[in-house]
Amino acid sequence: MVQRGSGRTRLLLVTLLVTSLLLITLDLRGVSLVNSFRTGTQTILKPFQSLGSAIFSPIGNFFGDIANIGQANEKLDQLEAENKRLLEELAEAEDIKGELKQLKDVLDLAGRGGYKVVSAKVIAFDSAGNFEETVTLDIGSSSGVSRDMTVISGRGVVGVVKSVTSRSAIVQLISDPGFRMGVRIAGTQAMGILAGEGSSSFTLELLDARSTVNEGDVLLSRGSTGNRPFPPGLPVGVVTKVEDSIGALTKSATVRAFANLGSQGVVSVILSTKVDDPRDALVPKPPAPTPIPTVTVYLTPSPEPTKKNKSNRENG
Amino acid sequence: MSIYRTSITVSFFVFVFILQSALINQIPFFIGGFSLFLAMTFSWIASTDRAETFAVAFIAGILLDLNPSLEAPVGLWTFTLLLLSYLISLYRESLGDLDERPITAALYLVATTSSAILLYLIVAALLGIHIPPALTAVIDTSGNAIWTLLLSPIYFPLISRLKIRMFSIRSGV
Repeated sequence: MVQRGSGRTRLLLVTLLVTSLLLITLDLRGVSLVNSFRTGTQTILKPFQSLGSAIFSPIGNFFGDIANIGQANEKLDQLEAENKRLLEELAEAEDIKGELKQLKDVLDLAGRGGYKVVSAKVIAFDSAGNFEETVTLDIGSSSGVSRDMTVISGRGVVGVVKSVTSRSAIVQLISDPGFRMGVRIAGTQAMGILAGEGSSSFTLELLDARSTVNEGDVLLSRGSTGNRPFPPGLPVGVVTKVEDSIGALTKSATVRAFANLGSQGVVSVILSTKVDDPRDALVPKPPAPTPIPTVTVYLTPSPEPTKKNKSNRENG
Repeated sequence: MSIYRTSITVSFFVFVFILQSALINQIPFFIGGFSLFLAMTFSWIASTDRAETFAVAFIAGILLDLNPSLEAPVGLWTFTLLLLSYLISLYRESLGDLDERPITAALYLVATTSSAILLYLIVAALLGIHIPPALTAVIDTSGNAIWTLLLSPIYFPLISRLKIRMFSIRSGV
């Protein structure tokens, strides 16, 4: 049922409506007095809001956590996945960084020796099953690689190409028990035969009984006819122990290879050489000694005691 | 409406306004939000005469317009609540005594608060003021309606008793 109001009530309604419309108009026209009301309200409300926040925020957070528990789990999964991805990327970046360093070192060695090389990635290690120490490279005859080419790392000889397909090559490592190569002791003309033993150490047998060998001597490749399989002057290893057997016809020694055969990711295959024999130019430089910090102590002599001080000390 | 009643009404709505700003607005409601202020306004209006209805709508509207977080012009809520209070005043008699009919009271509150929000949005759109996207508006209005409905058994009887007590003190004096 529609109720009819009195004229006074209608007048009140019209007055209030007109007032509200006036306020809207004033605000839309940018009268600052109207806006300052809101600023004043904010000033009044702020302490109440701060108090309310202090009282209610723990409860509000609790309800908020309940409301967002599904989202939190989802976010956690998302962050875990992202963390895993970032760790993988980091590992990959470290791997690439390591390979880049190996590549730089091997290209540096090839540049110093004047070798034309083609770089390759080691894609497989085959040492366990067949008692042969070999690695497989991701390049083959299509990259100019052929049998009996020398494979080097940034530190020295790694092995020799044993067999080749169009896109891969199998390399016999110098640690292979069947591997033999002629070497020369750097700085001398003493020559010997280096034999692999299936581990990181090798055996050196000098050809001349009168030659001498010492611990720390660097071995270089002696070189083959036509520089294949070995060009001369390539670093091979360092003598770690000299065998002193009385009555032996020749001297022998244990050698450690320069190249880290087990963890080589990038190597280069020498396609051709420009320089005949670099002699000892490729001998690795010994690492710079670590400086030992010294401590300097300054001593200042104390002043000689005066007579007055002396007498005071005696009295006191 | 006497000065005493006006001062009581203003004080009450100022208190509710502070309560809304300081506490209710900080509760993370699962759907939309809850306007205790609007619910209290229409609860108050439910048991007043016509002239007082307009006065209460004006007071409540002015307070809502003074909300500092509001970007709409001052007077828009006042205008909206006055229009709605006029419509309520026309048909309130047909609702009967809401204190004795809690379901009708709850539905009345849901209808009036939702209408107030929708009317506010319509008037704002007509004035060319920026309004939220339709989906947000629907979610907020629905959320408010749900909370108004669920909480009405608590606040509607409370406001009725409070109102009787506040105005009976004066009568006693």
